[in-house]
Amino acid sequence: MPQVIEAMAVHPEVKDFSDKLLREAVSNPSPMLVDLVRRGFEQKLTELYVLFRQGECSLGYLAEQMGTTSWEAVRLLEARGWHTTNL
Amino acid sequence: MLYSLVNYFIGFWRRMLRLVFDSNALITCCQAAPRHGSAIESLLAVSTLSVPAAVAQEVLAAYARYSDASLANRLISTDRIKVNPVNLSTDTVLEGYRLGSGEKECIAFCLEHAAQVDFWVTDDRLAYVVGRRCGIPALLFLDLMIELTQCKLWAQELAMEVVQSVKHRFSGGFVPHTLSVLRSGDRRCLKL
Repeated sequence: MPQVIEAMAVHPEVKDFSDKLLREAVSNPSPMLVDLVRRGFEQKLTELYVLFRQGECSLGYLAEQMGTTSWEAVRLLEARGWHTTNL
Repeated sequence: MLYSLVNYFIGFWRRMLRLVFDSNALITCCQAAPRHGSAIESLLAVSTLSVPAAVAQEVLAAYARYSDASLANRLISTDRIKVNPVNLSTDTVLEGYRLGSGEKECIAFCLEHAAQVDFWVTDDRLAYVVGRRCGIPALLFLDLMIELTQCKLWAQELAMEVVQSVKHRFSGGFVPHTLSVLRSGDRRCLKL
């Protein structure tokens, strides 16, 4: 029997950024689309963070891939208690 | 008299470090808060600091939301941090690395204006490695603290305070190692 997947707990910073990105593309997104974009944003950030910590991508690259600036990327990482440098 | 005065100022100007910062190091520097004043103001007193256009654009996009970016924006808009336009083509070896525009522009600028740059300061491992491979004198922000004290441009106490204030940004041995070198004055010191 299919289970209802509860909306994932989303960091406020992620909500801000993913919602901003979504609304740049779609004027009135459905709740499901909002949820999907938030999950995608969180997933992509996690994948890039792994590369970043391994020294395989820079902070600038991570920021550009997320559609943010380095300053915003640092806040996204700080919000999770993650390292903000790969040193 | 005038001649010696001019020589004095030329000597002082020559002693100033000419630094290029990428976003990561600029963030570290703008967040650093020693007991008195700010690290970046103390740095600007003994060095000339510049950023490529891509780094300045990031500051411009972020300054309204964050106090550290706002500080950087104020220094850029008053021309205390210089902004360097960089022409970077897309067919360079840098495209093979996962670097951001700011880091790539730093590398291109430092290569094109090597005679005008003492150090490129970055806090990114990949950017540092690529920069060194290109023959650029790259420094981590923590190593800049050591350089400033060894050049007698900063007091040891100030450098240690700055390092302590940004220790949350670094993992493992970086901060204890830096403090050990600052205390001993010897880069070869392994003693904690």
